[in-house]
Amino acid sequence: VTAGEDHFPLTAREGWQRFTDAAPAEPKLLTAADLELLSAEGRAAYDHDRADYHSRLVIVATPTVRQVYAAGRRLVLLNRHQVSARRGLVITGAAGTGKTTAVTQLGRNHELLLRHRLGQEAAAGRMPVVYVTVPPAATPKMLAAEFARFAGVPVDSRRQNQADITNAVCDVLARLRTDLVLVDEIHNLNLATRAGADASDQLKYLAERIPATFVYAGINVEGSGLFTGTRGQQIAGRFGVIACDPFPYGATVQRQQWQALIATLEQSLRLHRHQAGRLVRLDAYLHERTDGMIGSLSHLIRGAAVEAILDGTEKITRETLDRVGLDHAAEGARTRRKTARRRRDNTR
Amino acid sequence: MARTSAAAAALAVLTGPGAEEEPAGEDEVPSGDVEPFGVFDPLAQDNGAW
Repeated sequence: VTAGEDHFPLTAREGWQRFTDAAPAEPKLLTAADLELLSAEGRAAYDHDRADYHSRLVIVATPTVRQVYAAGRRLVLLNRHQVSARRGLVITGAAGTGKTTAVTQLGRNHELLLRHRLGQEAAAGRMPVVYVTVPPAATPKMLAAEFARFAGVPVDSRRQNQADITNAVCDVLARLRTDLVLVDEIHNLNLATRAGADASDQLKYLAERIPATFVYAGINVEGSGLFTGTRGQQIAGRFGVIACDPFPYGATVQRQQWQALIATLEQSLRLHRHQAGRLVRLDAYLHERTDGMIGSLSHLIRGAAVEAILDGTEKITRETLDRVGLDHAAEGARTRRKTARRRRDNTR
Repeated sequence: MARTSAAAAALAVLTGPGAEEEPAGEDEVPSGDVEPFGVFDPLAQDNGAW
């Protein structure tokens, strides 16, 4: 995950700052008469701005995003005066269900509201949010180094041991009054190895030392071992779990939710000849393509919008969507469904 | 009723200059019946969550 054109990772303070500050302008659609007046360079710049806008589009306030936001904000408030036994949150689910989006939006919102409440100057001396990802095959020292990297604490791996780095990180974050720590990719903790089990313990230790609300996100966290052992049992007793699931498409209410998601993305399109409601009417096809994954749906619609600008059609049709390839998981699920349907049809 | 009208109005805004009209097919859901989730507002105090 990166922020801005220079690709600063979100897991470093500068990238997080850019992500939090970013307020991309929504391009205004010109009238046909105004379009005629544009020079070739002007038209290219206009299209480039719109393609750039569609490359990120908008963050949809899905029920999950709202739930993570509400639970996270509530916990930050409740934990404020808690000296120990702080409560936290675990966001779990399959890849592409919007976990990272939900936690990063919680963090961004928390930081922006703090700035708004205290004023830019007073908030400048704080680091209210830390966002780190667990590296693959993480060791306790690597985990401490991730926190140090985000906080800008210099680390000399040869001279400093794990305890030195951990102490430095905890001191800095306490001074900067960090009160929300987001730990993503938690499934990278491999409890089957000694180093992985130690890293899991290290994370639990950091959560005890840093006076903040911890939010963990990852793929199917329940099975990751986060809740095992003595410290794990403490986490199980103090952490709420929010599951991020694909959007189902069966009952009427489920279809309405899926359509509500598509409608929000469709509303945000800035294409000249796109007819409102066209994508919502393709809801069954879009579910078939994406398996109900919000990440795949967003990629598909954004990709088709950019395609529509580049080829000049200025509208998203089923043909445009057909041309946009998706991730292996979504395409694989679609192929399996098609095969199953064919088998069913052949046996009738 | 008010929610449906709001959604229909919001969707109508989408119709850019030169947008084409196309009637919904028999099995299709008229888009005006859908209440969009809306966009997450990073500066909102509650984002409709409470």
